[in-house]
Amino acid sequence: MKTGFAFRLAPRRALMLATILLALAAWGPTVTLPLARFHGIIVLDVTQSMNVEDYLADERPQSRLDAARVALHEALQALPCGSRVGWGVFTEYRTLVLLAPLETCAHFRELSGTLDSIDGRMSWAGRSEIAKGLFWALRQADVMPARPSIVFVTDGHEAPPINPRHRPHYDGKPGTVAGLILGVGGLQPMPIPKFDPEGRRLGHWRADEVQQQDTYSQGRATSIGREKLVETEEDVGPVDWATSGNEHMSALRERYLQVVAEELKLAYLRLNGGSAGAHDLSRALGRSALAQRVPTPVSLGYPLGAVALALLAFVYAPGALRRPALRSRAQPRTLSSRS
Amino acid sequence: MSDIEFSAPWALLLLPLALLPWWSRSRDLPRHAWIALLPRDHLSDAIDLALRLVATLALAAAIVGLAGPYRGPTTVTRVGEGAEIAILFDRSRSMDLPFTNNSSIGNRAETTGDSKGRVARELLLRFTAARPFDEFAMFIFSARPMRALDFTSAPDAIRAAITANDVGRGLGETDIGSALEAGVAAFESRPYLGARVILLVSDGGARLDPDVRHRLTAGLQRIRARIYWLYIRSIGSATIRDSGEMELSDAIPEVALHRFLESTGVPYRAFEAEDPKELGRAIEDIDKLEKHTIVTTAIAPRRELAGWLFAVAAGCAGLLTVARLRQREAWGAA
Repeated sequence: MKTGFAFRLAPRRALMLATILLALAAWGPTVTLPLARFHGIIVLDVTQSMNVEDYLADERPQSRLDAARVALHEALQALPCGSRVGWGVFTEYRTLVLLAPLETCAHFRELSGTLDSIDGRMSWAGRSEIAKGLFWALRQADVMPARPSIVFVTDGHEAPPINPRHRPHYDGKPGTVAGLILGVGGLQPMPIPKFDPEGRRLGHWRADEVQQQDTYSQGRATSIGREKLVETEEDVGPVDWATSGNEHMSALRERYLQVVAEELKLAYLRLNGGSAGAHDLSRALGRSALAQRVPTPVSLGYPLGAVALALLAFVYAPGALRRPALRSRAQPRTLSSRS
Repeated sequence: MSDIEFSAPWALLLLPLALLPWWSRSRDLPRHAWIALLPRDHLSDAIDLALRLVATLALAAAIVGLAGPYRGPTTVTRVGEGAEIAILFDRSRSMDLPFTNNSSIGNRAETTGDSKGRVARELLLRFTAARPFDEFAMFIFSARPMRALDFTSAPDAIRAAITANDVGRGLGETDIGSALEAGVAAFESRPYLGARVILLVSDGGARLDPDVRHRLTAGLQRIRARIYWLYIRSIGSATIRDSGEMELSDAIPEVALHRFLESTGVPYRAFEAEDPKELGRAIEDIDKLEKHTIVTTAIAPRRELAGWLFAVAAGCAGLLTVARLRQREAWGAA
């Protein structure tokens, strides 16, 4: 009888405990934990090659910039509260920060509004010196409060082309600022749509309208016009390096971006189309390298509620019911007469 | 009012657990078949039913609570004194230069330390912080206008848009015409909520093309905005203050812009500032001028509802505990 009594007592205790835990959960205590949350500035390349439509959305061609924006929208939604996102744009040889990092949950509307308004019309100049723009972004992040990480969204299409031997040099210390290069675009070279500054489409860039060769290979100033110096004879870079004669076409220059990323100790990710790409991006942004530990209030309501639920379920689980039926509990006299 | 959503909807899969209290009957009845021989006690039946219902409610409320229900961000209407202000902020390189005052014209060594841009940003930070009912939008411009922030009254967002300009030097060119057009366009897609202000912060003017002038005049009248121009005067730049002594020439870009804005037919005021103090006064003046009732909608953050459900579950669990305690007393009495 003794063991039986103990067994019958347990559900009562469980119920009492569940009541207390649920009341606590309702009150909603929080603890502040230093959790890793994304903190960075996402810089979008808004040069003309980003208008190449080599993504598909609902069977329709989608530009690189649009694909990046759609994926970033999803990532913005997927980031946990406490993450901080800022926006910047890249053109010419520099990065311009539009919005300093902001907490994503409280400012989702503002952040997505600014993301929506980032387009090719923001481009203030025609050049696209990506490495320099990336250096610029890293240098800026280095002097900003809390040193945000940099996510650089680009197709790697340098215009004018650069010479593998004479690449711009980063004067900072690689690794000081964490970052991710998000490569956008397809690997098949595609014609680049041409837009005027107001965003009106003017067909495609033609071969004779863009600089096909890097400045060094065009020959340095020599006594006779276009005489070449010996050192510039053979400049062979990785496979998808500048493609002399084909610069009016654009593909994702992934090998180039990977080389740059490695040199600067940044991560590299290719943006795949559709929701899979957005998912990969969200995961990459959530990685701890790009994050900072921020005191984040964590609600204890859910764990408390979960324990309380387990207790309640235990009380009413069939196994715990091998005792006077619930029905008979309402009939104390019957029970007492039994014992 | 938006619908209720769940942050962890998969937890709702546990809902069948809420039926556990009803399972006991079928299991227990055969074991206590003799109860069926007793005359039916309606009060007991009712209490039994009630307790099972309460238990089900407790389980269901706890499960729904765990699914993290919330009422999505809702819009709330606020009535206050303020305006919708589109800030057009000059990001040209000249804004990186320090202020000057008349005495130091031509003598760069005597100029004060902080750049015009920095002083302007700090004053804008103070101005925006003091006006909680304003909706601010931020455009930065050089050769192209760029929208850094759409209209919002979220103080952190406004601050982030202003302080973003602390980083990196300015851009090469300036196109005030396209910036003003962007300011007009920002209002055109919005319902009229209250006073509309375009606040141009720049250290230079421009002679605008006739067709740009034409478009702007029409646009400004259409959106019924007021314009303030905070003209931050630089070393050697022209004044737009008409002292009456000297004929102001339209050949000077600043004067041309000033004259054009005067001619648009919408309320316009220019504030010429040569030093931080003057700039501060100009900002105070604008603050005083813009006291109108404005009805804005703000986004109220989402409301978590789990607490209420846990409270319901706690109440039910409390009832069940009391019921059990009474049952125990009955045993003890026997």
